[in-house]
Amino acid sequence: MKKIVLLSHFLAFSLFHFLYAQTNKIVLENGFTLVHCEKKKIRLVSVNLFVKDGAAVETDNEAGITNLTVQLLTKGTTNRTSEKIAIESESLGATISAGCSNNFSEVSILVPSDNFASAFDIFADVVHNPIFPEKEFEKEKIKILAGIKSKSDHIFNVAYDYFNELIFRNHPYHKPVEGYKTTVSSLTASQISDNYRKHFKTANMVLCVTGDVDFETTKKLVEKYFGNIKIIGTTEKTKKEQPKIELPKQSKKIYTGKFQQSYIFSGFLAPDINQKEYATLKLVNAILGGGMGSRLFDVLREKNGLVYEGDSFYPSRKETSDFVLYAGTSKENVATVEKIFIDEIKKLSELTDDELKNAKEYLKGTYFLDHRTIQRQGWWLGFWEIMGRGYEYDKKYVEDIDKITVPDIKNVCDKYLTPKNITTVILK
Amino acid sequence: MKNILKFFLSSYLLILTTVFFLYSAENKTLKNGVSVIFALDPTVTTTAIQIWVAVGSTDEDKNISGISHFIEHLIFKGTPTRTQKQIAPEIEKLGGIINAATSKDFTYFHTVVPSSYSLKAAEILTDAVLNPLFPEEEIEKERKVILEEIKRKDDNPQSLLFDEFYNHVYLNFFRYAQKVIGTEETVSKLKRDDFLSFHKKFYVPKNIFVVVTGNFNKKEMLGFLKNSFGKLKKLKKEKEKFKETLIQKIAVKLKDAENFKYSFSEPYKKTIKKDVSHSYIIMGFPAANIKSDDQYPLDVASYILGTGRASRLYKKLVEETNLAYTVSASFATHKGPGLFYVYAECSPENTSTVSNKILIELNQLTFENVTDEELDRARVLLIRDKLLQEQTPDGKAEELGFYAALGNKKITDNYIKNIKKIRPECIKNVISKYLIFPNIPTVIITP
Repeated sequence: MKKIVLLSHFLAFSLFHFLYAQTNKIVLENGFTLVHCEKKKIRLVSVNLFVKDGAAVETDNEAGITNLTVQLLTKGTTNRTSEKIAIESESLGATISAGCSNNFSEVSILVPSDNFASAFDIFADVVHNPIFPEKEFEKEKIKILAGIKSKSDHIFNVAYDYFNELIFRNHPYHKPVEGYKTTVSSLTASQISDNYRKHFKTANMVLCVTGDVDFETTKKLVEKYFGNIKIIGTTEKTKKEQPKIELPKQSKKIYTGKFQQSYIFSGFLAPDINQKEYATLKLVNAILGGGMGSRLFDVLREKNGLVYEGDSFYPSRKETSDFVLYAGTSKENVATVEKIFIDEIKKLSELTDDELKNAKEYLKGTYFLDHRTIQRQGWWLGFWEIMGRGYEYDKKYVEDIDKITVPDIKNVCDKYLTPKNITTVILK
Repeated sequence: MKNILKFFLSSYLLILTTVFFLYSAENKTLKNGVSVIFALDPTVTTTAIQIWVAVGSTDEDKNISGISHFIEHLIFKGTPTRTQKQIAPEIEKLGGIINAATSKDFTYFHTVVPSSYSLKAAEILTDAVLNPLFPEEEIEKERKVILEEIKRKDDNPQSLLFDEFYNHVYLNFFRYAQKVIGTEETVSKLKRDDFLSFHKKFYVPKNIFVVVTGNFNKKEMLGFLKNSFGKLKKLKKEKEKFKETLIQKIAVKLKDAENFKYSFSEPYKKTIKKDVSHSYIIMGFPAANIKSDDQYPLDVASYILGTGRASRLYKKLVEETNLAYTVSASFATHKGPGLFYVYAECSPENTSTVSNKILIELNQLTFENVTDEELDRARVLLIRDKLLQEQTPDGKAEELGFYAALGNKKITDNYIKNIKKIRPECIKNVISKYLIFPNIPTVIITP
């Protein structure tokens, strides 16, 4: 058994070495960061631009402004209309997409490598020269408002929004990234334009290019399109001091929904991505909700047949995060599932070396498998870089997981996952 | 500009074609009829192993609707030599992932593991699929899980829409109308004997396609497969062919399932009132089956109509008029008649305008050729999507297994060649052949 584990550790390291043997990083004079990783013969190139500061820097009154800003980037530039952007890029076999999370915005393009240079010209144009035309602004706003409304048709989304409002309280993470109906409705095109100028600065940008293009070619293109951009205004961080949230005492809210199933979310405030317990809590998440060998799968599905979907998650965030258990179940089983959640949290202190070992293999294995495509490889490199850990952490994360011991797990559970601090939302 | 672009696209298509030929798969058939497909790629560090079984909801009588899907769940519950914990959790301990899925025409079980564990993973997955115990107590627990899955599915407007649409389009003609997951009634009644006899009947050599892709030792893997799948008894009687599964009354009309076109005499539009935020619309028609070359122009037509922001429908309904929030088109391949459909979401007051405009756009394809630019855009995106699919060993295996299980292995290798052959008139001809105008089957869920 030990031989297998040792072999598997070795394998994880060698696999990551294989993936990132040719990773390069440069920072241009204006602060723009490029991370490049070549993967030959794949015939595709993935480009991911990360821009610091996502929805978390918005005030409650302008909730949704980041999302609306990035969605409008592809809707018209000083050089191209919205239609031209769509036709030109898709004719190259390229798709440009944009989105945002609490901590960053993203613009990405995926393109056959032969068309990389032409597609990059369009990509740079939408990043640098958006004009947020009034007509496009109104159309996009209607679409986003429809999207906000349609969330009410999906039980998970409804319950999760309620849960975030309760657990994060006065912290910006309480808001949905797409905003509220009232806030999005009140946004103006000039607000969008101002928001863009405030955040889309070269010093705030990390560009990841992965796939079938060499470093020199990429560097030349990046310097051509991003190197000459002068820093407008100040380069100080746009980050505001976020309100500290205290660990809540046990809180619970029950809502009534329109669905056949009920949903339950229970969770705790948890360390942010830069805290030392981050990797440990990721491992706790694997023990509880990691696949078909996990504790929650076993107790909720295998032993009791209570759910089809029941799991845990621990999002990687700056400043603070949460550790969440959730399940969809019949209305009559909600109380049973709620009790199981509490029991499972208490049982986390009963952990064997074997179970720890298995959870590590699962976590490292799924992490590695999530790097199978160039899109995901590029995303992970850029993600670690923009979150402040550096792209090298993509490898180091695996090493950190290997170092975790049973006492580490117990300590982190004692500190963060105490039932008396649990927040629960039930949508019946 | 347009001419330059056209030249550029043509040369690009040529380059991609050569790449695909480098990764052709090797097909073998074991003596008992089990198909084995290998696609070795020594440059990767993982192996994908997939067991495709050509059995799905189209093989189910009404009273056992959902049994294929139920079996898919029970496969992970134990064999004479392995407990439940020694199947999926064992793969996860190796740093792998494992799962399964059921559809109208097939059920498949899949895993991806680091290459050094490829043989071990193959052993586990093979044992689970070929030797399930179907323990009584596990059946009862899993029944509850599936009943939860049914509720969850019905809570989701898109899932409900698709289920209703299949039911509406194929009506009493095909078993495609039946839900893959079954109904509360049928799932509640299925017994252990039903599972045993269904498994025995359908999990037989002629229906099994084992696909292994990525990095692995071919000789060792083939040896294992011969010693496991190769030991299955060859049955004299093959599984019923697709045409025999058609309900009798229509079978007469559909002697040539490939070229059929049916008129929709039933009410063509079904509206479901539900507590939803806006309207969900789906409309479409049955079209080519897996053997037909019409699949290629249908794929291209779906991209011209509704894939990407520059597609006809997206441009006209979303970008230019703001009538719909989203719209897309697709051609779903089946062993029997596939399904060409358009999906849209819009505000309730725009529902009939949106569905009328979709109908107009579909009809326009029957009398007016698409432009060369539209054709090139669709082809380059289709080829890009195929590249994306083949980027990973499991993506490649899915493509190989899907077409093999449906009965046309050649598509994987010939796809690009056939897409390149499409000319504007092919789109006109293929839509004219299958479109049911004006009474196109439609399902709408609306507040």
